[in-house]
Amino acid sequence: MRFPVSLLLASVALSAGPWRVALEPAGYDLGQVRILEGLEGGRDTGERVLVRSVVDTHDERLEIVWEKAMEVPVYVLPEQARVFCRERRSGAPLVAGWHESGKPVLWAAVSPGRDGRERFPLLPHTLRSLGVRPSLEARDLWAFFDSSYRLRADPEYLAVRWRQGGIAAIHVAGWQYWEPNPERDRWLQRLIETCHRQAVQVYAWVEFPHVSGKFWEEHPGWREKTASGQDAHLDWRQLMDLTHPECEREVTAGLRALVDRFDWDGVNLGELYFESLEGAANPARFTPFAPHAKEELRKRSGVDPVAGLTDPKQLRKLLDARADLAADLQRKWLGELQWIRRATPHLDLVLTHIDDRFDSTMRDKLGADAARLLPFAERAGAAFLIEDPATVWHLGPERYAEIARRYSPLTKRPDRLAIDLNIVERYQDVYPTKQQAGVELFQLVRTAANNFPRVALYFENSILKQDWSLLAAAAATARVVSREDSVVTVDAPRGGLIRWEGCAAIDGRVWPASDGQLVLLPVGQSKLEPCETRLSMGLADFNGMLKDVRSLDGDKLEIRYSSAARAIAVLMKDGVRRAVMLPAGDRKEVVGWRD
Amino acid sequence: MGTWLLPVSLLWLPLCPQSPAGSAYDALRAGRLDEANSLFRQSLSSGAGTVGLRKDFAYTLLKTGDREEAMEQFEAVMRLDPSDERAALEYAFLCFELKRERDARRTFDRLRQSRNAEVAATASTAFENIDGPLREGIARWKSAIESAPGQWSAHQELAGLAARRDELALAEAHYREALRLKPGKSDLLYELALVLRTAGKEREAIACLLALSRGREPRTAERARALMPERYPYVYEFEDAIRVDPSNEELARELDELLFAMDKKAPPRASAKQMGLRSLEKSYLNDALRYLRIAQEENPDDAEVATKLGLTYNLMRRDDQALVWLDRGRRLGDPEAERAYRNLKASRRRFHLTGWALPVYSSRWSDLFLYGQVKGEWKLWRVRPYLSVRINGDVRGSMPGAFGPLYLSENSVITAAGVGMPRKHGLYFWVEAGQSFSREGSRPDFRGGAALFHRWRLGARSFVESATDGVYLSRYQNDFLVYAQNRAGWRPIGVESGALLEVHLNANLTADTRGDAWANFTEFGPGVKMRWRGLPAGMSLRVDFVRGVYTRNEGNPQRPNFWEFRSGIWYALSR
Repeated sequence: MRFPVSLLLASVALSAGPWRVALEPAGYDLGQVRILEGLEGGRDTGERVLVRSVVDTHDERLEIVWEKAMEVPVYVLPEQARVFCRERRSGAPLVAGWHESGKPVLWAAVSPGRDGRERFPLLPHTLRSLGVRPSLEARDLWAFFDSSYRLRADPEYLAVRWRQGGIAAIHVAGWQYWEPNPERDRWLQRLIETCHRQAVQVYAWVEFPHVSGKFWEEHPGWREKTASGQDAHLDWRQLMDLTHPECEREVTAGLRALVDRFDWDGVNLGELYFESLEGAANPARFTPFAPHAKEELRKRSGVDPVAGLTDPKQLRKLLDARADLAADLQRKWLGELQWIRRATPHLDLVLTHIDDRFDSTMRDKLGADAARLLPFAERAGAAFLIEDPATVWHLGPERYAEIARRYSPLTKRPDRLAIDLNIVERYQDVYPTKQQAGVELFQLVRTAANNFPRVALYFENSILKQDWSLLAAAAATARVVSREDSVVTVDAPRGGLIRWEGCAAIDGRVWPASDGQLVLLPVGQSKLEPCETRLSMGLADFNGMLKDVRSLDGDKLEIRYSSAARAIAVLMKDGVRRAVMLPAGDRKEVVGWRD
Repeated sequence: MGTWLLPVSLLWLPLCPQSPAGSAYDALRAGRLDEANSLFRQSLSSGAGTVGLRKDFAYTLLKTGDREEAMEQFEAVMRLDPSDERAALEYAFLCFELKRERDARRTFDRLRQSRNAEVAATASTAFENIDGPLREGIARWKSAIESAPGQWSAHQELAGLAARRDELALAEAHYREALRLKPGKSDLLYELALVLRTAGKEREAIACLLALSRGREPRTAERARALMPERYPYVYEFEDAIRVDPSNEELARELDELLFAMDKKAPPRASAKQMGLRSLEKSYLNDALRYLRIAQEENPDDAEVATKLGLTYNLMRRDDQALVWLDRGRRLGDPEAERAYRNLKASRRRFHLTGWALPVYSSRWSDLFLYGQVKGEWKLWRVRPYLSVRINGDVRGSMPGAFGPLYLSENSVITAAGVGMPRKHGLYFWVEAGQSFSREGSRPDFRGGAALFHRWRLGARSFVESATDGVYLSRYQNDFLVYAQNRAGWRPIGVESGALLEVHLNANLTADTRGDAWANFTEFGPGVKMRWRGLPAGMSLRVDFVRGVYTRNEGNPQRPNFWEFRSGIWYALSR
């Protein structure tokens, strides 16, 4: 009898469905708010307006277009209502909020849409503007960072925003620092120090075969070529021929120097394969055709690469040889990073690789072959960061469950799998926003976090400013199991934070990991309850998977944790914060204010 | 930046210590950057701002990474004080960072002529940093096109670079070529419109934008609409746009409408009736109404026009008028109007009486069954209270079972009062309490459940439908039964003709919580449903031949598999 009953229950849940899928991924519980729709909260004036696009006060620049235009009644709302979203031209109210008997009321003229994201992408921000806060957060996201977009931004401001937005590490575009430059180097050093103070780790991110703009300018003879014979300057990347022996030597030296010059926590070797997403169908974008690379392809495939492009049988051999070459290059450069790590053992390694399991055309288009590379990444102890290709960016968040399902059997270290979400303007015809924002972003992050132990965002600059305020809640994997009186039971498979004012005891013991507003949760199930004790020193923030923390005496804490990179503990005493770097691994460390 | 930021701040503060601007500087000094920005914004929106204040705001925005807004502030400063070359430089650099290379290049180009040597040198270097790669890119893509012609994306790349370098003729030529190779690609047409507008070819730009604004991609249409004049387009603009996109039906329709509205004597490309029917089909209800009213004036005895007018009003939720026109349609002899009129009339009554009867013969049980119900229902705001009389019976009565006689039906009359919820998304809930009367005497009867129905149309004549009922019955020892009845069918003769022929495949599942054999089986097989003209309205005949499998066989007196032939008459009345 299970099937029919569950079917009936699913049907009953339909009416609240759109609101639930719109708000829950941002960490909200529907019980926190009263939701009204149409006539339930407004008076119909009898006028109608055809809604094609809307403006939301949380970001008036954001272009929000409905895929399906809709005729909507024009409503008059209660006097106390604050309108947050209007029809673009007429100004007719579409989303508003107010308080009734102390409880927030969220009103919309129509439903948010079946998937919760079709009409009002910034709906969760309306709740935030009404003073409602999600109760659980996580701070284990990664984000890519390119300083050329933040040339004059204040590092302190950025680091605080990142951490509050749930970021554990930023991956800094290394090609901007490939060549030493005193002024820029100072800026990066300051950024790294500031990030560490805010418990944010910093990784160097390289995008071979792009090395740097200057490298491209200075070595025209080592430039990669497309099949139509042009220098391979494709989109923003200026590709170099890494099969050229002199080029390879120069890049090796440059990589070692880059890692040595800064206090990195890890290195990310990203997207080392060939171009382009149009594959062999577009020779003007098809690489590698620089002389050395072409010779390498000829040796491996036994066919002439130029002639092979037009002969289907030869093309197969050529594409296989190209995938071989890409795999060899990836192994070579990961090996190089392992060698560098001998001198700097705390470095964590990451290999960013496009997905070719969900979108299996990637092997032929780019030469990417994840299954071949995963075992090598495992042996090198590197995290394997899967990037979902542009061809599927328009698909819904459900794809992450499917990607996880396809990769888990390929590795013995599923804990080192990670997923990269590209938050960018998509080339597909997508709605309501061209780039993932608000509800859609939170749905993506939530689903990804539920399916992968690590979620990375490309990139920190593309995330809308207002979305930062709910990102940490969207990433939360912890769940409240029960609330009885003042006792809250939480299940946190990867740790996390819970909104909790004042002293908290966990499983009967005064818990020192709190900043007064948020309590850091240990891995597993915990029972929280209020307490009276005031500790002189606490753990205000921690970057790593927190397993336990004990206050040994007034000025010392014993922390049990695991972390692939150096962990960062932020201690707080008398309102003053101090960050302490701790060794990577599965460890128990004692830290004191004076250490 | 810091060298001039401080003096401006010091000048401002003593003047207005309590003003938002003063508080903005306080917040800025304390490192509360978001708060500072908010106060600057507030101050400038009240119109109190000076150029200096605006610049300080712009620099604070840069600290928080809000480059787009900072760029707008520097642009505003340039307008307020054209001699401020430093603001112009900032603006140009930000344009470059934000991928507005053309604006950046133009501004740097102007600043190259500055009398201030420092500004001129900076602008010259920046200009070359933009212009050089654009030049090289253009040369590279020209060469790529020569060596591999026919690649629309190569033409798009080249056109984009040329547009950024203000080589408008080159950009236009290659966007047009890209469009020729990839017709219907709306982003190319949009880019072309921008280039044409920059080149001063306003009429051609409007033609592209108008075509896009009536195109299939809502986002591009919306962007195009934002760039068009506020006024409604002229006839010649529609004609230009149709030349740009001859396949755009919406343009043609709107032009017809415009011509017709301008001069009724000028014949539209289609008759008012055709336009009305087409508009209704595409759900342009206001247009449908306008055209159908004209068509009705032209030919008051056209039954189809009257019916469609009624249906249009019904879709617009103006049911009083819908009834008037449907009534007219049925009086003119349109059966569709007759049906729609009856349905609409019935749906508007507060009290609704329905009855149905289903005599059905089953070869599996070798028995003739009769099911029926008469129900009087009141339509209240959110609930539907009702009174009901059901009859369940069969001719044979019982058959031997493993644990005594097995009764084939309830053989009873059940009177009850109940309440249901209005059907929503195909889902209906109901609950009732009553008394059952049979030869064995009377006893209380409680039942309730949910029904979910959905039909999917697959083209004009095919369909798939699914009806799932979950029913709680007190009289079967508090059993809960679920019936899922699914049909995929094809109707060579549709019901709109008054007759019906339907061929279908059944896939049914029945299950219960008690696990009784008779209530746990699946069946699959073909069937036919039919009616012919002359049968009373609401009556149809149905024959099914199915292969079934019992899913619970404990105490089952039957074989685990069965064939069943069923034939029945369905008759329903509604008043």
